[in-house]
Amino acid sequence: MIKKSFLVFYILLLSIVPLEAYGNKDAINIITTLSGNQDIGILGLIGGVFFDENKDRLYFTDSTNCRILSYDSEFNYISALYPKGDLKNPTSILRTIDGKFLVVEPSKRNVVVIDVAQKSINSLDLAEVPDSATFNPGRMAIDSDGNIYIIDRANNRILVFNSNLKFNKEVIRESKIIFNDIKVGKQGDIYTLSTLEGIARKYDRSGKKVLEFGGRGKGRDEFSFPTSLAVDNKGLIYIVDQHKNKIFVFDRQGKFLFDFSRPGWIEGCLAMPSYIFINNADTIFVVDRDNSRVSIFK
Amino acid sequence: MRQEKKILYICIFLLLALIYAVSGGVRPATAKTSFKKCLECHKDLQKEINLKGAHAPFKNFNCGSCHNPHASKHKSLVKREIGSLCKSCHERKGVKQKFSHDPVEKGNCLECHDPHASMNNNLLIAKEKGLCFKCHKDETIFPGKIKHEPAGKGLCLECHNPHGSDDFSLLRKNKKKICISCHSIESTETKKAHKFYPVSGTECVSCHNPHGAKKDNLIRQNKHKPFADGSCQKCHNSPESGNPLGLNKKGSLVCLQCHKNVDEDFNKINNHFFDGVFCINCHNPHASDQSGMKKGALKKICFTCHQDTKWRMADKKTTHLHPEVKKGNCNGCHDPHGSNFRLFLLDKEFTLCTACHKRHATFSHPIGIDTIDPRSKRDITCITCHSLMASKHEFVLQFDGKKELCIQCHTSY
Repeated sequence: MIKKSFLVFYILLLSIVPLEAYGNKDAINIITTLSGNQDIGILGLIGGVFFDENKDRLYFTDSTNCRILSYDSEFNYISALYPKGDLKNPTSILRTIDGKFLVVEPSKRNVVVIDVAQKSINSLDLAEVPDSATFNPGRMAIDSDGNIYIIDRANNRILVFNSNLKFNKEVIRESKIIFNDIKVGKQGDIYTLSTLEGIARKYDRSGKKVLEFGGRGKGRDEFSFPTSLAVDNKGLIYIVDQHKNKIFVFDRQGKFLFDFSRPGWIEGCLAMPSYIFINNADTIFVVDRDNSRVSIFK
Repeated sequence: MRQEKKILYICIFLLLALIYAVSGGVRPATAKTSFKKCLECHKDLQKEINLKGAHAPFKNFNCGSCHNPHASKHKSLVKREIGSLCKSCHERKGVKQKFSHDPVEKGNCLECHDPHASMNNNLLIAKEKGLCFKCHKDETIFPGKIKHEPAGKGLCLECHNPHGSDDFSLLRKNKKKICISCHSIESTETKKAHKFYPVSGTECVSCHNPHGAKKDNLIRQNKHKPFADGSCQKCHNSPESGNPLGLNKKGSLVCLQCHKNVDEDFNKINNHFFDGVFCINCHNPHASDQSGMKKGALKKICFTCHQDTKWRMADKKTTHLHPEVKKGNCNGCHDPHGSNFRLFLLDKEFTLCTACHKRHATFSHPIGIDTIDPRSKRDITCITCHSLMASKHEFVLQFDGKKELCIQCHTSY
């Protein structure tokens, strides 16, 4: 009878306690952080991060020390590439399907193509790009076919280059929207983020806008200063808020689900995070800028 | 059996107690209290209640709508924070617009309004002129002796919404339309003054100070050289062209054709490069009352985009501000064009901070690239311990300096 009483009590107790999505929040944990050590010394400003699915390698740029660092799938350090002379402050990075690195180089206002095998470094060919005189690359993304999407900050547009790095088309152009980040989903949908508006947008392959959500404000699910976004395999949209030092997670319709992480210095906390990347295994890579490290969650 | 029943009753009691706690307790019964009794002690309010402009809850003896007659953790026994209290009825008063007047932002309605009664419209504690100039000092509003008539008379609300607006300057109308609601721009004299460029639909405040100036026609103090020389075509097409106000170079190139030295700043890791002629996001291309041809006070420019930073600095919990933040001198630490250092800083943290805080250059606590923060594994710098801009702790520390800060790293203590 005593046991039955307690059983009834606990069942009724659970029905009163609100069941929020904290279960989902708890499902995202810090795996490790990649920070400075004896092998690589102190890390400077980290520009961007990219996981190469073909090679199972993680790359990120150390903009201050002008190098690209590579790690294996277990996140053990492999080596650093120092393309000095041609690069001053590499920021955004990705690797093409044929193994070339594309790196945004602000000092050149162009994207640099590094072919390690051929030991060559060239600027991206902009001959076919309209208004290329004012081209100023922001962040980049790659789709499952190897097409490269580049934000042109000077012209508020997204340029698409094919896997051979030839200009294909201008897929999105919006005169009043400043694009700060871009990612491409598995279905070819294009996701963009505007920091000043605090708005995330989703476009279909043709560049037609299909979703828009977000906004800056003081509310719990409003952004202070969102800087980057990524999409996982389920279509959940992750947005980094640099000033709240959190990652917000939204469903496919842009409905807020939960947020994770908090401001701080210990593992799992973030200090002015600037960029997020999610690989095919749904591992979450966050450039934790002020802590000079890459934080990896899953 | 009796024992078991006893336990069952205890469980049910605990459950009910939990429901009570979760639901926030029993709400106080709405007793029909006569708040007229309040005036028996608060005699100073007896005269005010009969004023024509008395606040409706006050006039109707509904003191309980704002005050708790028994106890409160807020001054004057108000039920909650002033801002939140007023908003519960006055939500429509522009507080949800893009930009809010600072007192509105902070919930300080009583900076301007008397909550009981006033001889002035809208329960204002003073007439318009006296009220606005209480905070917006004469010397900052009027840089010269020549005053725009409404501003000189203190008729601020002719142009400004005192609560909020979608315009940063809290204008009632779009900047491009507000002036022509009084001023015609069609006369030959006006057209000649503008070198026959069509100025309809442009921002008059680009050249004219809407409050006052030292120069005739309210022209701003510092003039961009091409503007001063009347060499409009240095940047613009000719007035006879199909697009006279159009620029003769694309985007920021129109500025960089002369200001070549700043181009490099926009090629840095962190940079404020945008589309179009982004220079005019911060600078006035014609005339300015600020140094460096800035559009306005530095803080005002920066907070146009960095609104959340403004909110954080204004937060009541942020009790200690860096002196440069207090002065609104963002450029004291940040490079507004671009920087290869974190947070758009002018230099590495240690070098930058010790440029002013010279004594700390020989600080005893280990600092620098050879000293690693055990939490983040990065080098210890000034901002490891100090918040850059503001904090609720003395010396703008990240944590309380007595112990909490130290044990972040020195965990054995």
